[in-house]
Amino acid sequence: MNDWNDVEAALTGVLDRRWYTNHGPLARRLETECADVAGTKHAIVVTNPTIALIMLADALALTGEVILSAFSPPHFAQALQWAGLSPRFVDIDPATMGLDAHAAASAMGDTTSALLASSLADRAACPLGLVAFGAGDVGVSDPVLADLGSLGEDAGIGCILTDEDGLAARLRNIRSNYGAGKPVPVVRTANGRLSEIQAAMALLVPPTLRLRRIDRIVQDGRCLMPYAQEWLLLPRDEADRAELSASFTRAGRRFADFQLDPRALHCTRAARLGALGLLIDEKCLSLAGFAECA
Amino acid sequence: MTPVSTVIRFDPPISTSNLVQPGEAAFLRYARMAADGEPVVAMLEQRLAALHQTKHCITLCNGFWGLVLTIRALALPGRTDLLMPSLTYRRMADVAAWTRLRPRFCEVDPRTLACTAETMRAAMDDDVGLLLAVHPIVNQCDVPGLCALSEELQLPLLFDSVESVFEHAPGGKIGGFGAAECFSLHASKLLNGCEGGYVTTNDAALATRLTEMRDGKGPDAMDARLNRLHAAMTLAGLDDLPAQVERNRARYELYRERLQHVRGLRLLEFETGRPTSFKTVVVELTAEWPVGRAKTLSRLNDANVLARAYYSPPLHAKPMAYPHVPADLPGTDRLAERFMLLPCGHHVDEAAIEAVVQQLADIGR
Repeated sequence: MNDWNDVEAALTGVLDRRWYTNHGPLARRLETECADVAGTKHAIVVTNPTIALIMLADALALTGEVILSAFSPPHFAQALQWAGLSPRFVDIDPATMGLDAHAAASAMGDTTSALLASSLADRAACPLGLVAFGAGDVGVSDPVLADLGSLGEDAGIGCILTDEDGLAARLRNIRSNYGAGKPVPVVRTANGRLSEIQAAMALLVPPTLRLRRIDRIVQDGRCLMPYAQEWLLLPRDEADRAELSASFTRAGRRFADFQLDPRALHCTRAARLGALGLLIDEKCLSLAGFAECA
Repeated sequence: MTPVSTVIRFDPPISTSNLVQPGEAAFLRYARMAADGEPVVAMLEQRLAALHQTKHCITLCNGFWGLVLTIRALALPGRTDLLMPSLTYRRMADVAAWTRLRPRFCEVDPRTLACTAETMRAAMDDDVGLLLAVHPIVNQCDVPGLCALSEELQLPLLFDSVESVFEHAPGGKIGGFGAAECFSLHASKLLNGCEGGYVTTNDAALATRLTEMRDGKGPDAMDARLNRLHAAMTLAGLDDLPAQVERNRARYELYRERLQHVRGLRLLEFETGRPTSFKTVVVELTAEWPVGRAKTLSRLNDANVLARAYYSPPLHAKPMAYPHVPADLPGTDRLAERFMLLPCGHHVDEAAIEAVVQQLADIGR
């Protein structure tokens, strides 16, 4: 929880520095901190997770189909479609509530160019891996997109984590010529600039809440190995359960976003587990989201 | 801005970006409202609709994606091309690339630097699915002529009005013409939201469609919402807008007075008789100017006077890795070499303007 005084000081600082956007000092600091926390060489922050995923798909030059969990937020599929790709949904693994590796392997076809895996346990900091397949021998490019948390009604910030220098350079050049570093050829730019105000708010969130360490998605040529999450929030006591019940109405509106109805008898396994996942999700949002000011 | 040496090297540099600073108290008040969950984005949309005298305003994460979504919503199905001037915003062709349309380029009128009904008609064919008319940095397009062309050809007309927030055209306030008009809230623009964009329209169905697209609902949807704190910043800027315009006017009038004594530079003058923001200062390097534009800019930039070329290179001359319609535009090619923007905006004071003009006079001797 952030105190309003902290928020005010951060916003005043933006005005005092007179640097409002175009890869300012706070955006640069946020990238450094994100890379440090995640243990990656590069972190590229983007104005929102949807545009970040669009940029990532373009930077990886993906084509054809991308496999993703049926229990993905709408903006995953929307981003893929904007990038000219066809989302193909597969069921979830109930142990992780993420992409079912075997289902994904079965769904792979000649036009599959990537797998999009997401953690559903902590939506506010929602790491996901995008595994891109090269032609011929399977190559693994495992950039990770982290959602740095919703700001209440805001979209949140995207952060792409990668160790690949070439991919990072392309992403920076797609995002904007500000903070692009060395110019490299890209097909098209996508204006994913992050403002200093956005960076300031993200920096107020403690780094440990801002990003979760995740294990790298490993691909062995035939299927994905499930990735581990650092921790999974579960209702621990009656107080937790009561809080989750109280938030169900709000979570229920989220169900509409997913076009899922967990009360329907014909629900798939994904939809039923979605109820639990989203309730946990709401609780997570309250921890890592923007200041509920004191 | 204080020159720090006899060579007049500005520290910090002065640029052509507006960077207008809202009143801190006003900004923090709106930011607190945002933090408390008050509907600052809706407030902003209402105020912008009122400013532009339109029925609807839809805010977005930035002007780039505002253009993309609006073009996607408006372009005629089955058509392949988006017609736009070449002498314009350096990313406009990339905007087209996201809409699955090929950018197709037209000339501009050398007197106004704006596309006209004539220049667009000359580049037209049946592949064009939308007319994208862009107001130049100083003054406006021929709005009635372009609207008539749109009506005649039964093609949707979208204005990029990023540089005409405060302006009027014959027939009314900029914002209500064509099918829709797009604006930016980038820090360099008249209204500084840090980042952001908005679209104005009187078409209720279009407004609904754009809102749904922006909010991630329905076909062609994506999350393109405006950040609430960017809305707060813009609201504070709206409070200050009349005062900002007066400050801009004072800067422009000083440039106008001083530049008339510098041979070889012609200030692009704002039209009188209709409201204008006086935001940006553009000069033409005439035949009398003894130094090429590149060298002029280099000497200015060495002094941290971050003047820049006007929309150069033009879009049709840039390499594009996506489908596009190649164009031969000799008029644009000539114009693209002749104009430049001089420092202006919130952090450029009278002393800075005097120093810049003196530098130009020195370069031009």
